[in-house]
Amino acid sequence: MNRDEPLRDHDRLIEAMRQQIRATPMPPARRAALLRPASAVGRVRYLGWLVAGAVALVAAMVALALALSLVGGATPPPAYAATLNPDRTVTITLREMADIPKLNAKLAALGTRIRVVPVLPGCVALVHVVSNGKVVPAPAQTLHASRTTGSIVSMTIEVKTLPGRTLVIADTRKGLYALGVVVVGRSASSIAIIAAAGEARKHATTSGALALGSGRSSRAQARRAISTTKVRSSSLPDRTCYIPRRYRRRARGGARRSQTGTINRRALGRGRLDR
Amino acid sequence: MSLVSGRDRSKEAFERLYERVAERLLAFIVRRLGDPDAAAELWAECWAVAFERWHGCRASASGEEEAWVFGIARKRLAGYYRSGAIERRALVRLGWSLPELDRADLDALERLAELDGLKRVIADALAELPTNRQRALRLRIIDGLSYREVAARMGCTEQAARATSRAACALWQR
Repeated sequence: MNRDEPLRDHDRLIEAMRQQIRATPMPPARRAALLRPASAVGRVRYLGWLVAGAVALVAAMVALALALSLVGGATPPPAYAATLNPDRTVTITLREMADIPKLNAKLAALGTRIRVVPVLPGCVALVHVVSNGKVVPAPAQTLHASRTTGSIVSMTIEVKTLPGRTLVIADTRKGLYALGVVVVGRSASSIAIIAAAGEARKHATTSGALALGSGRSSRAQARRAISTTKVRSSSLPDRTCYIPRRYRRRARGGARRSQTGTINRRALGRGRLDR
Repeated sequence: MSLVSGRDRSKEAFERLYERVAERLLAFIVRRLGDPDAAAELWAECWAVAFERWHGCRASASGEEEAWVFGIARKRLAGYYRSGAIERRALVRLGWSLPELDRADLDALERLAELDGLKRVIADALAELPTNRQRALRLRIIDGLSYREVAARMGCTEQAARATSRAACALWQR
């Protein structure tokens, strides 16, 4: 400010403040200010210590979280779930094959006739196509499980279309499909869930079930039998194939029987079957 | 005066900073508040805060020091917008006071901030808006009414009042 200029009106305010600043001793530096180094090198070191402290703090928090999770403090997501929906559908979620018995117990407790069975890649089973809730009078289709890696899915299935029959949701050689398929039989209904890695996403985009490869059941018809509403994939390191007892009775061919036996032994050996 | 003052945190350095910035900061605050009386008080509080925190100022150049003071002013302004009250804590702590401002002082502050020209520009920009948006903007921004009250005055739904006010603001800012 040029002090030679005549004093303007607002200068009275500025001058009053100037006088007060001159008359007041400078307050002592605060502790935080004293801790901050003045030189550039010191500032870098100061920042370095700050960063190191922050990293140490984060590491301590991570370690604490891990420790808590190890002692059961954290709640992992449920490995399986079965929910009976108001619209007579059941939503099934399965993340680990080992939880299939628990899931089936849950399904039984819900009063549904659905059971989940694991399917091993390479297994072959006879299935029938369902159209509009009824078995299509056509030759049984073959259920192929050919994936070696995959994911388990969560899906919603209409219960009312499964009186005393077996519903199979499976993939085909062409890829993953949720099939509106009923296997004629007297045992309780069962579901074989097979999902291939990378295809669960494709599955999720389909609002309903897809028809078996034969093309005898349209997608719309199959949708009435099976309603797949949500798919959530998770890691499935290994799958086993279980062909229900009635399949074995039907499977008279040597190769198929042999395959079934092999599969069953492997599956039973791992304790992953519910029967 | 050198461009770079280093980190001289002496009282003399603060006085130099005051000489450089005091008038500009006053105009800055008056323009943003539009009320010279309140602006003078907030300006004084800013200097009191700056005086107390001068040792903690980490600016290494004179320009940074000025920005630091303006930063304090922005925070005080934000606090004023939020609470509608001007803090006087630092002034009280230091025992500082402001001279009584008479009409001539207030007029001088308005001239310093060129408030007349600013008001003219704002009025012109407001006049360019459609009538309903003008009204919404006046009710909402100038009168400080709630959207519910704006809607009642304009005879429309609260949602429509909200949309009109926002559209007016966006248009006006352009």
